[in-house]
Amino acid sequence: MTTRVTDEMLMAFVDGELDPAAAESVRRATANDAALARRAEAFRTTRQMARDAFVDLKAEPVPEALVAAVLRGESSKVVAFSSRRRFMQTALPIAASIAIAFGLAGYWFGQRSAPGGADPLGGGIVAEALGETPSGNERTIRASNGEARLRTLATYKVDRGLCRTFEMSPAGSQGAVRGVGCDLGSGWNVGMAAAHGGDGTYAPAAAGATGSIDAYLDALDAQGPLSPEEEAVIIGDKGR
Amino acid sequence: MAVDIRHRMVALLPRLRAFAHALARSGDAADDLVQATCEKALRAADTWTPGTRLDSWMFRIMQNQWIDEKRRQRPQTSIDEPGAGLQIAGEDGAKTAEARLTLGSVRSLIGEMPEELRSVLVLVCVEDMSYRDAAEVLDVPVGTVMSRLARARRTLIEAVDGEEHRPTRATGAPS
Repeated sequence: MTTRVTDEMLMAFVDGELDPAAAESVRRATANDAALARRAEAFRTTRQMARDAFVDLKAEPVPEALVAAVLRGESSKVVAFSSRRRFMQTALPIAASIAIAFGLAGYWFGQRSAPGGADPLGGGIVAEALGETPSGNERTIRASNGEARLRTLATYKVDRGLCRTFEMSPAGSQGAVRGVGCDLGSGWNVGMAAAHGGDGTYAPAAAGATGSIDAYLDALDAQGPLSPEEEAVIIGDKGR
Repeated sequence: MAVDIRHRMVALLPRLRAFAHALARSGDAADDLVQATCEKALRAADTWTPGTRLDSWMFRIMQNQWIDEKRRQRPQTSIDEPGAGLQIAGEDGAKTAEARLTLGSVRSLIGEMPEELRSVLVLVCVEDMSYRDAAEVLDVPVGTVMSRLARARRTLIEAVDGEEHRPTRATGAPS
């Protein structure tokens, strides 16, 4: 080989960080030098090794205390989007995510074993729990297709009542549905839900589940989230 | 209204935890670091520019928070005691005589690396950040990111080579 290829160059090459000309010269060098090619491959492998070392951690459910700390945290002003404008922009993704979530939730909560589809979402059970469970708490709910854990995450004041965000996951599963339910004067109803995977990310896209929950709450002009004290006045604790 | 950035932060939590583990290594300290980072980020939310990367911004806050914490705690206990493994849930480094490195031994190797190598390894290889983005998070030049990253990955390569050639692998823990 004519020019010396350093470890840094090999590494940047397999990471796709070299400009085209430099990449081409490394490519040519590795094509003519089997040892160099093996070393490049070794660098490529280390990325996967590092990733594998963190797979378990990233698949682990995030401790609820952290989620609650974020959702209830005091925030400076906080990104003043125009609620309406944002809703218009996100209206389509919401429709899509609701469709996805209905399919998923239907699967988990026993759509097929609930003939007639009286309550295919298991929404009634969730809705009941929403009226009773303090934020950050978890309870087990029984749907027609088995048990699921339901966590209420936060409570928001909206024009005509209250909305609450929640996460539910079937017993023994990593996946979960995140959603929002509201009581707009006629009792609690599940407004929307979206799936997020067990890999620690929220599917279908980063803006999927949480993004559409935002938009849903935005559309209702939600204020909040309420502090635990404010919430305690409103949310009963009958269920515990 | 407050909903937007909070939910985006919640979605980032698994990634924040991974970076926090790279810095703090122990699970409890890592989650404390995540929480402190989120609180700081929420208080400073109006300084984040919508449209820019929220993840980079929060990683940077975490990095600074960690430096602050270490500075505060150093007189009492040394957090960065050498030899401490990376505590990540999962079975720990079973010392089998396999030809390939086990997940556990990769974790120990990463845990034994100096912090500045661990953090860059996680940002680039686990979080898929570009060298430039990682440099911005860590507030160092891109060249420094490259040399640290190469050192970190060389440690892994040498360990694999060691395993392949001799049952006793050269630990070569960098000082």
